[in-house]
Amino acid sequence: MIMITVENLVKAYKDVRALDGLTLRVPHGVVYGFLGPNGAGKSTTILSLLGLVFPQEGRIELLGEEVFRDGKFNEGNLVKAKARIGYMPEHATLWEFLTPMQTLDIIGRAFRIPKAEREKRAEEILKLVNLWEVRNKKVGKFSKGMRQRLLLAQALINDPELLILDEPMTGLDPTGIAEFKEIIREQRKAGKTVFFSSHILAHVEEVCDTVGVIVKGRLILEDSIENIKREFLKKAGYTIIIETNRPVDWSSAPWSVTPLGENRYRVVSPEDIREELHDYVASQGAKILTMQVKEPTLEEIFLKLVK
Amino acid sequence: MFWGFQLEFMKGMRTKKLWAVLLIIIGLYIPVFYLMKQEDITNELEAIAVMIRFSSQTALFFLGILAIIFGAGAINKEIEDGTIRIALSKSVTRLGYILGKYSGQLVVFGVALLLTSFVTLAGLQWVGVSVSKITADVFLLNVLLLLTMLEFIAIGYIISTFVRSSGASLGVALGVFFILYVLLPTVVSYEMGKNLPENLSMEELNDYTANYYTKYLFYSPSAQFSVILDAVNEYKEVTKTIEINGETHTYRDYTAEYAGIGRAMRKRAVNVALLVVMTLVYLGIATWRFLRMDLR
Ligand SMILES: Nc1ncnc2c1ncn2[C@@H]1O[C@H](COP(=O)(O)OP(=O)(O)OP(=O)(O)O)[C@@H](O)[C@H]1O
Ligand SMILES: [Mg+2]
Repeated sequence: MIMITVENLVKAYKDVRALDGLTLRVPHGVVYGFLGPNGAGKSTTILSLLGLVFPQEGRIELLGEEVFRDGKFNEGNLVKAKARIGYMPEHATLWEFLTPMQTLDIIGRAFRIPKAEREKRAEEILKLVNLWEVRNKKVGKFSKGMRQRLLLAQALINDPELLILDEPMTGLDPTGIAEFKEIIREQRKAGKTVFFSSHILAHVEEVCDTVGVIVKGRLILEDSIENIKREFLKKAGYTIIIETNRPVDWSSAPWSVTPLGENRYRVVSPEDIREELHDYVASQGAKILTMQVKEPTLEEIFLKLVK
Repeated sequence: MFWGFQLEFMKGMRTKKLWAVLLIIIGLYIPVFYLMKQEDITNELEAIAVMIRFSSQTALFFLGILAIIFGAGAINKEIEDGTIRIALSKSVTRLGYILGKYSGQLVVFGVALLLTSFVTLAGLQWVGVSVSKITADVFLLNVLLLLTMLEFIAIGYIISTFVRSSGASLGVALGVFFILYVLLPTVVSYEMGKNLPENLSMEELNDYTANYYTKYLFYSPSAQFSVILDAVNEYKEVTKTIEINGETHTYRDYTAEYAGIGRAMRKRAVNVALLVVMTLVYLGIATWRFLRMDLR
């Protein structure tokens, strides 16, 4: 099943066109990283999915239910879909005067989960997100990281098939991020689908099966991380930095070479040319002392794409 | 809808909103009882007259402001905090949420005013008034106050859905309250005074005013509240004679007889209905807007 289908979605706030014909598809069982710079339209997309903002054009399907078309939400289908979705908003506060237990209880009621089951789930989840110790403390006294965990916890109370998380890891310390990623992996193992947005690549890199990159309200790329890297290498080429024992004359070389100072050169080529490079340098009567192949980091790819 | 109600009711209880309302009312009432005790008012009709005067001035003013402010922060503050995005991402509809929320506030104010009724009765007994005959009136008075508050809350909801910033909406709410509570009633009364027919009896004057207020102030909860309470007294015309320098003169005079809040509500049924209908209209406008707005 396709869990999220978005077609030609357009959303304008007064004069800002936040979504400009966005199309994307999230299949069942994947962890989908929704990447984009600040202001790209990530939150707008997510809010549109849940009927929290009103797009002007396009179509949205959630878990097979058509929830939006021709500028209108279908409230009935939306409520049905929302019952199977967990959503964690970007910087929201929860009710400060409630404890985590009370928070999960009232949210569990929104899904009409029976009391006994509510309590059982609340315990499981609070243990999972490491808030069990403070389950009876008022949220008003929580640190940012604790609030963030509770925001995740409230998204899990209905055991959702689809998790939609808006920048879930901002504000967490490295341990928190690692735990978060672990939770996401466990969700996938349990057969759930996770859609989460981020502008930080490190958050996406180890957990996502698929990455979608949104820039200025349009999806400019959607693929697995490996494919993205491979494609990028093809386009941008390999960058190899070598150091030789003496100066080399590059005038008859077929590659573009930039000298970097004392017997150091940067060679760029569309293919892997390490062997050819050795031969060429040897033919010039020199030797390679060190060779370094630069893999593009996701950061570089991202920066290139966003430009 | 029930979930929105549960949530709002729980908030009302836990944030001590209810107790704030109650404390304000009691704080306002204590001096009144003290004064009554000092003045040695033990007659129940005099006592209820004092309570009515107090309600239509001080209590209406403070509770009205409180109600419109509660309403004015109801939606936009939740958008600012983000709690509404959490709430509406759950398996609930927008319509159910806003109506549930409103009902929650209705119950909180209702409970506060119910408790107020008991406090009033206790206070009167402490003063030394026998309350058996005016118990119903004390409750009716608070029912009227509740209806008025509910209309102010609904007006607040409109402000809350049209003004994005909760800070700004507070200012707007106070402005709107001033306009509805003071400015427009003053203008309407002034206009009415200019066209007032001569030789009206007290009852006729009261009816005339009520008519004017119904026509030109139907949208102001406080104006409707005061026009209803104006009818608690029945004015009887009596011809009196007086002897001045051996000559007898006759003149018209009125005796005001307390006829009860029940009578006032029957006589001003249109205005009571206006309180309810306009509340629904205001709530309808706010809901219409809420169903269309971006919650970010
Ligand atoms: N209420 C609003 N009124 C006007 N413009 C808005 C409003 N909300 C968002 N925008 C604009 O819409 C665009 C998309 O915003 P959005 O919040 O979706 O971006 P984002 O990708 O989530 O960014 P971030 O990484 O900063 O969270 C931005 O240009 C933003 O300025
Ligand atoms: Mg965002």
